[in-house]
Amino acid sequence: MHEADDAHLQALKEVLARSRALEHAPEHLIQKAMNAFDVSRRPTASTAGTPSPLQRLLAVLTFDEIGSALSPVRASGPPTRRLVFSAGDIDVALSVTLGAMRGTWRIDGQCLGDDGPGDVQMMCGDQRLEAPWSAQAEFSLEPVPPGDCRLVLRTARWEINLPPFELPPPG
Amino acid sequence: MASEQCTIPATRQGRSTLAMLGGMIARTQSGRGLRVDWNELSDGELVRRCAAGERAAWSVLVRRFEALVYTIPRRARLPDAAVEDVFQTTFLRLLEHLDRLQQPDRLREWLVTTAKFETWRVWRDAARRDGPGDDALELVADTQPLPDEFLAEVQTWHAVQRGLDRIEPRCRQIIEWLYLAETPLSYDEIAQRLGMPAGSLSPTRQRCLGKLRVLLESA
Repeated sequence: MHEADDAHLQALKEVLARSRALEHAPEHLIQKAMNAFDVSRRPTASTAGTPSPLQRLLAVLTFDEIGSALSPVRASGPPTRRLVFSAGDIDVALSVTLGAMRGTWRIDGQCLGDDGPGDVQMMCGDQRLEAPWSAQAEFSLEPVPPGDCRLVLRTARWEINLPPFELPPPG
Repeated sequence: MASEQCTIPATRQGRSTLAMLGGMIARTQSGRGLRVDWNELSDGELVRRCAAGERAAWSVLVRRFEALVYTIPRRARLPDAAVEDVFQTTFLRLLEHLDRLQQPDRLREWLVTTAKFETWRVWRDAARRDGPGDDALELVADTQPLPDEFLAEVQTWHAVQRGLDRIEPRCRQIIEWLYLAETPLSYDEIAQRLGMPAGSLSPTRQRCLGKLRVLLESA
């Protein structure tokens, strides 16, 4: 039916067809989300004049998927361990994969619940690493040695200590 | 960014948001009333207007991203009530963070990340609440309900549909009839509907796809 298109147009046509999978929300949901604006924009007490004390929070491990990286028999696919920690309204997701250096790990993480700048400090074994996170609150730490790991995440308003977790030597 | 016309597009389902929003008029800082072409406002500009208290901008923003946010918990096969929770919570979180987004022009990515985490939260809470049992194990076993590849692709889909919102109506119609309809129309049917010779449809189609591609590349 259609004449041959170049590769770019062909790819665009394929994406258009797949984009049909986007599902529209029911109208009542859309209206409810729109109406939330009126409630949220009511004047609240300003905190600009009074600095808040730094909140120190202890996170709780809420999810720990131990993948093939830590099992004696390596499964197919990239070995990954995913952990999720929660401290009030803030979640921290970590993904542990094999590091580029032999015998080490790599930790990729993301903090959800606060969009301000921050940084993460890690103590694993006897290795200490620090890294600021990106605008999307993502960070990477490498090389991470095996051992007991502790992470502390900090912003201007809070500090979250993650409970320790163990990383065995990569098999 | 102001223009002389208010062009709120109809959604893919054919509902007219123009009727709902009643042809919004936005006031500039000088106080003059000017009609705003909401379609041409970038995501970042929409966020800034919302943060400044423009209710109309928030309505446009919700309309622009509702399908993106809704698709994510649906893809994770959450129950309807949980999907609604994720949808509302995601937009509520955005309202809380309007003043603090570091990169407002990357709003699409922010919304996908937030919806993903809200979906995980619901999914995790259900697993804890249900306790050990087949349902909980099935939830935990499905550790990749939202693989990164899908999350990247859903953003591409949204970008393409956003491009369609901005393209001229004739091109949008042709593309929708050919590639987005449940049953694509034939060239003859489209030509007849548009009152154009069937032979000119193919080059028009190519031109329209080319325009869409340029829009996407410049976004």
